[in-house]
Amino acid sequence: MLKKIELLLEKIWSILISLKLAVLVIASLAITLATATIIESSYDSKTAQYYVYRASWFYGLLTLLGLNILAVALSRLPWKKKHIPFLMAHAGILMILTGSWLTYINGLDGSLRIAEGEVNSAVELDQHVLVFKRGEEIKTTPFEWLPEPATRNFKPINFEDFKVRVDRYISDAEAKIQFVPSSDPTLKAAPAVQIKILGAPMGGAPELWLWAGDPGWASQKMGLARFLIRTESQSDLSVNPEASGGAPEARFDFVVSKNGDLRFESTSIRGEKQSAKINLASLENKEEPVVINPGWKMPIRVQVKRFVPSGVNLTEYVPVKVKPVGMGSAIPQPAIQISLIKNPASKLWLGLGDRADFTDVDGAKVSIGYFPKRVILPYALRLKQFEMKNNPGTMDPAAYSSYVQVVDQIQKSESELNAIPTHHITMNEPMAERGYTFYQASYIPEAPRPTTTILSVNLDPGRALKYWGSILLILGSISLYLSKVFQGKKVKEPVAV
Amino acid sequence: MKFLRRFRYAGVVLSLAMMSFSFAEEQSSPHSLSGAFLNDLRLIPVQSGGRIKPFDEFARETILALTGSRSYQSFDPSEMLISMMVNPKAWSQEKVIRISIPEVNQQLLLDPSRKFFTLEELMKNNAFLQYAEGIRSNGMASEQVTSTGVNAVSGKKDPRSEELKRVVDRVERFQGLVTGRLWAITPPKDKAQDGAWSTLADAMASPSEQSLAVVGMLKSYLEGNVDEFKTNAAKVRHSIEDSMPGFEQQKTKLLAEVFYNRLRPFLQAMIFYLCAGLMWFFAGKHAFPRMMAKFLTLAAVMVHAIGFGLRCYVAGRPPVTNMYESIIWVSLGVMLFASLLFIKNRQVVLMGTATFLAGLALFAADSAPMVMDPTIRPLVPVLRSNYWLTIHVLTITISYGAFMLAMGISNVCLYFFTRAAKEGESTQISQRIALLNQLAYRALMFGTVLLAAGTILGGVWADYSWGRFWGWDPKEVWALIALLAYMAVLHGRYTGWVGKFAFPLWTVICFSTVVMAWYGVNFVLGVGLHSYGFSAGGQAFVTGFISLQSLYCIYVAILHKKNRSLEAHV
Repeated sequence: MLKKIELLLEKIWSILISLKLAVLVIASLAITLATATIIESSYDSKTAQYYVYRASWFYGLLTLLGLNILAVALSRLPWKKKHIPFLMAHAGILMILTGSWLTYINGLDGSLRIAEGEVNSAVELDQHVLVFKRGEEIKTTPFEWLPEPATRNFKPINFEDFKVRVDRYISDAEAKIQFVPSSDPTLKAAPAVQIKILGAPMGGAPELWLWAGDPGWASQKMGLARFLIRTESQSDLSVNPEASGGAPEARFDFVVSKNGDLRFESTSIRGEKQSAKINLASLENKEEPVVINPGWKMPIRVQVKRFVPSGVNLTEYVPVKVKPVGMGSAIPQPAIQISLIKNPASKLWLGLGDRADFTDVDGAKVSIGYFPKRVILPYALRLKQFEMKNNPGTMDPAAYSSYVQVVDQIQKSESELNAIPTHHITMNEPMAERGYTFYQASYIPEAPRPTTTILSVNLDPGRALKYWGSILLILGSISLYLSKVFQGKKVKEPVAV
Repeated sequence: MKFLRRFRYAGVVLSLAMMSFSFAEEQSSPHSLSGAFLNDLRLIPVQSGGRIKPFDEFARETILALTGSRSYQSFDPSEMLISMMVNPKAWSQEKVIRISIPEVNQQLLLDPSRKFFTLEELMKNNAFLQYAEGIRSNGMASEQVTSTGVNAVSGKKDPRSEELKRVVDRVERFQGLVTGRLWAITPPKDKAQDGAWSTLADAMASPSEQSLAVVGMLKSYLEGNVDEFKTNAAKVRHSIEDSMPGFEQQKTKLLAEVFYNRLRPFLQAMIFYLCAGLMWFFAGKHAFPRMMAKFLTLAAVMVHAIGFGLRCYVAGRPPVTNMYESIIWVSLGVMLFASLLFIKNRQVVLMGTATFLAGLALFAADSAPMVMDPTIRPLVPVLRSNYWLTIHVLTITISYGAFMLAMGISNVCLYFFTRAAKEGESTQISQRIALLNQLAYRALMFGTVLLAAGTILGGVWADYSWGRFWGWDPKEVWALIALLAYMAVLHGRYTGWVGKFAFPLWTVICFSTVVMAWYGVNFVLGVGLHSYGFSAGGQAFVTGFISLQSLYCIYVAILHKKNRSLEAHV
């Protein structure tokens, strides 16, 4: 028996130290990678990541390469002087592989969005979670991106006694927003209004929904104007002027009174106010469009398309028809349709970043969110200013950069904030702070100028290994080459043809 | 139709010069006064495409954009532009606007056998006008034609709609030129942030010193008064130069660019290379032809290097951005590695192959200005002012040069195998084969070390500016695939799996991974973060090359196998 094991081990060892295995592994890696780029070209990079780059068998192949190199190096024991170049190059590869593994296990690669004048410390990762919240109790469970097909059977997810099931999944989804009247008591209802903005300076006539049930839905900013819905009982303080970085903004508020009347209140940038009741009867008759002139300097008109006094968010998601290509275009996000085991009739769509509110049987408020995974930094960053320069005489961006401050507590007075030193993060000059590195990655395009920066945040415990490994690999292969050149016999010049 | 109205407006703007003249008759036999009288005109500084360039270059770019070729008939580009501005009516009846895809002709109900159309024809074409309006209202900028030609269904670039956009861009350029919107003449008085110059069209509303000088110059051209034109062109040039902040730094650059344009160094280098290649192959052992070949090679490399240096100087950066620039650099690399190998092995076949390859590469770069844009453009933000990036791109692309040389040598080596198969394996031939094997191996070593270093440098740079060392981006993955492919061959050679015949064969086959990393990722796959290098075109050429190469490999392999089995029988 022992002999057999010994024989088997010897056999495995002899395979591991063979150069032929190396050739096979290298060739299959090359073929695998070529296939992956073709997958990426025909689908997208997320699909290629899922099937190849982040698949366990691919890591297995890389591990096999590492083991092969290690075994070959060990088989040359005892090492002699002539082995040095060979050892250097191959140790370099091993170090790079180990470093990459460390990065994969312990590293962090996420993005941080900050608007001018605001503070943020939550880094969004490229991983997705379902978040369950009841009172103070918060539970999260990973729910990672999957490629098509969308029809899959998911197991129910148990948050204690509260059970949720994912019924449908769309890898690349597009929202069809709608708020509808509903009698389902488990869903949160609030006034909603759908508007169309005519005469917008950027062309087109954007349509949007405002819903008083959630602060994120209640207020939307378009250029220099903010559109908002609130009930009479909610005070005007729901939006503070600092939220826009202190920049003046025009306001257009829909105010819903207790008896269900709808009124608008508009404020121009210079502070001129207008207000009037909206004729709901003509809105329902659909005889002629209800168009309001907010009385701003810009020739903007607001068309009220629908008003739902008590509406629930029944936004649907559909697969995107056209996948945007190129840098800077918005990447489509996944969406899920969930239902409660207790009440299978109430199906709800959640796009990535959405949250749904329910009322449990006992009257407790429950919410389920579908979010990118977040990591909270031990400190926060404040964006003082975002700067963008164009190539002279064109609209092509030449460079963009962020002026940020590292803030330890969120609450700081203006004078205290001014005392904190400012870092300038540009495309090629990242900022390092307590192990994390911040890079200028992108920005959110806005008119008249972008004010929200996107920084990529990175923590890489494998960096040193990868760098030293690279240096060893290069030095090793150069010396391998040189030793070959000096050892190599000079070939005699044959007679001319 | 908006388009047409705009065009009429053009006439109004320059009608001060036009009156009731018609130069149509004269245009039928283009009168090119040419020569020294254009010197000042060529040197007028123009702001266009994000940088300051001489009028000569502005004219060349405009004509390349319109016609898709480097020149129109025998016109000097600068003079042609002036002529178009003073006489838009006659020029709108000239066939200058190119449509390179016959399907587009069909879509526009135009004669599919023609490649060039007049502005008038297009402006009378309803299908075209509707399409142009569509593009305009979709807000697609005409400057970014290459990045917007996206098929709505597959998300891939559709050559037909891309070409249509380019045609619209050509028409817009034509109109922009004759309305004065294209030519920026007046630098801002104060150093405004973006520093956009105002155009000739802007100046028509509020005439500036420069616009008055330009009008004077156009008028003297219209009157055919050469002396006056010369004085006026000098006046325009100096008035723009004087109002340019920091002109002194730009002065020699502008001169250098005009010199570069007129010299056409890469065209000359190409001719020298091809002649040298022929010389090397037919020289044999004779001293004089070898001497000539050496001399020609030296001349070619010198002109090549001078052109490269000039281009770096004018652009203010090494050529790292597009296919055209990388071919220039790679072919210089081929010569560099060949020379290095030549020091140790003074082989005629080495230099012959290298000069031939360099010449062919430059020929490919020069022959398709529409696919490989030769204009110097400012860098996209991600590529700007970074030392590591420059090193990374230069290292990785020069490794392609080494692989190209290895491929060339291996092809010659395979040729000797065909001879061995036909004539029997003499010692002379097997010595040749051994030598060529050795040379290809050396070249591969250069290539793999540099490719590994370049790929890693790319990681360093990505880490430095994006925060990650490796992100499985297709461009970096294909560089890695090429490296792995050659590594497999080198290790296979070490184990003895790859022998004297298989080594050159695999070296040739593996070059297709380099073609993929170099060309395919940007032109075929079209995905990933390296999108600043994406483009289209040249598929036929590259596929042709790959298929010819594969056919040759198959042919040689069959011949070799037959030969082997014959030998075995004997």
